[in-house]
Amino acid sequence: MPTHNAPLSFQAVTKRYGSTSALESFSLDVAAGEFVTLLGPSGSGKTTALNILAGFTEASEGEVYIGGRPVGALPPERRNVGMVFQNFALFPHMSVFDNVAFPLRMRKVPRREIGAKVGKALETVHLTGLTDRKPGALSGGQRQRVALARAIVASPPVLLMDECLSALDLKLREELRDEIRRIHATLGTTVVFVTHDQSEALSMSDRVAVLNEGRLCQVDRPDSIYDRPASRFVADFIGRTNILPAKAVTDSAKEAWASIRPERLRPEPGPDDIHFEGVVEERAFLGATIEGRLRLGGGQSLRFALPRSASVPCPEVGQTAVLGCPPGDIVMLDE
Amino acid sequence: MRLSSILFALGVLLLFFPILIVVPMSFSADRFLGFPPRSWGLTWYRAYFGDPVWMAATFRSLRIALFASLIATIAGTLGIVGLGRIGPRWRAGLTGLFIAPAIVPNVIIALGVFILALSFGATDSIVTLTFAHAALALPFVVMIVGAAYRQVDSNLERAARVCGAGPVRAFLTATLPPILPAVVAAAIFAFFISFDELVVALFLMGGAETLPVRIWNDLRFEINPTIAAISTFFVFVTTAAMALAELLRMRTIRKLRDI
Ligand SMILES: Nc1ncnc2c1ncn2[C@@H]1O[C@H](COP(=O)(O)OP(=O)(O)OP(=O)(O)O)[C@@H](O)[C@H]1O
Ligand SMILES: [Mg+2]
Repeated sequence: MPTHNAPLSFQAVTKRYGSTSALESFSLDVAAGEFVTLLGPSGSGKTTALNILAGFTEASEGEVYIGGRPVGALPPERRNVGMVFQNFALFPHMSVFDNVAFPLRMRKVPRREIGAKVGKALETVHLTGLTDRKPGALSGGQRQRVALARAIVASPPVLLMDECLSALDLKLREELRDEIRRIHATLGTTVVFVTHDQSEALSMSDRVAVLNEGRLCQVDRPDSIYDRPASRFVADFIGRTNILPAKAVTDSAKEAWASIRPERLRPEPGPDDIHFEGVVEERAFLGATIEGRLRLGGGQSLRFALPRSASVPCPEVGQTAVLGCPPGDIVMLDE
Repeated sequence: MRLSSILFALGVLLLFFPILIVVPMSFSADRFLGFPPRSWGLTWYRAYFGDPVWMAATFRSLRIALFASLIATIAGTLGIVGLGRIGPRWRAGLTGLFIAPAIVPNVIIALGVFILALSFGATDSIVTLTFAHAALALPFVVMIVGAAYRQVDSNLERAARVCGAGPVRAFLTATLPPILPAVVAAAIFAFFISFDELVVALFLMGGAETLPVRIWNDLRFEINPTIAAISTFFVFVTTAAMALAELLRMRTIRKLRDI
């Protein structure tokens, strides 16, 4: 399958259901070949955004573009996208072969080319030899592979996936996560992936778009999202963090917040580090790390995750300890 | 335990009582309807299948039932699909409307259809009766097909759409096949709703009798074992068809639940 992809873009898309907005002036540009994940808690509008892109839902305002052309007026069948659904959505009465061949038949691909293309797609998803089975006779992982094959068989320039791994158990999920990455690398298709699982988002994507209550909070590379969250919500939602009033960290009088990741704190801080002194409230030994909470003088509690090291003894519960981190590891947040 | 089995047996006996009487009577060779028969034979089956009036009524009924079932099945199935695409308030109202003929007594419907037909000059018409029967059968189609349709994953149709199928094509490839057995079951039920129907037919049909009307008219003048033969024949036909319909209906529901 040739490399074949297209940029896409949401421009000020709003979707209202009655008085509530599922999506509120949502704008996002995805470059051709990019893997972008929409990440957000339940009800944040991820599915709504994807459905507007696929053409299942009409935007109340704004426009979506695929390959530079507005597609808002096109029905789903004319948008030329591939889609993988959470519950697979395989046609139960059709064999694996017929399921995968379906998009080709709809596109009137000549019969003699269909066999080869279906074979190639099934090979790409590492599923061969089951072509005559009905979906009912497949395992969850196999079904999702068939669904993937069906989505990519007609080489659509854009591939959409809505929580497509969440129906699978953990091991399969991790396996298919790598598989999807590999397929993306092979095909070079533009991918919009929806999930509420942050580890999925961080590990798979070129960029992550964090949504909350229908609004786009931040779009950035996974490491930047993690290291430089733009808001309290993002800092809190991605990974674990400590949110402290800025006053507790610096002497700024402004109403602001500071985010400190637990694993950035270390014992025996240097003179240039920001210091936190408190009483160890809780402590758990986790093998590679020791995690717990420190009760600060101002009453806040600070979670820490210290690397275990023989040279630095870890404070016991009830003892006073001083932890610290370089000022650069603290992210100041206005909202 | 003992008592409940006895009650169950009594209940079943009560339900089957007419059949237990009618079946032996149909095989009697006596001149008059009586129980138990004094002599045995197929006289009355021969009388039924040999009589052009009975045959005409039977074929008329079969024809009406076939078209009524076809109309009710297509309208009901499309109705269910339509109900799935409109707002919840409209859906509740329209569902009620579709189900209404099953709740309103047949006599009232018969009267209504009769008055309507009068004003159009369309009484005594097979076409009117066919449509009236289709309306009577519609609730059963809506209920049977609706139950199956609700089990179909709505993403299936969406999947077909993104794969490049238009709305009609998507319905035919994604939604219809999984519910097809239920649609066939509904068609069979609808067929017998019409085939059995007497009251509306009595109101609407003067000259041309349907089978139930013919039986009704026949019973009023003399009681003759032909009726027992007809009944027995159709008890078996109906039982076989209904069993098939029920089997199809159960199979669809179970299969849709599995995936
Ligand atoms: N058809 C609808 N009618 C009314 N409200 C809707 C409809 N579809 C979605 N919503 C609302 O829009 C909001 C966003 O829903 P959406 O399905 O996009 O969330 P999501 O981010 O995909 O959530 P999840 O992770 O649970 O799938 C929710 O508050 C939801 O209740
Ligand atoms: Mg969703």
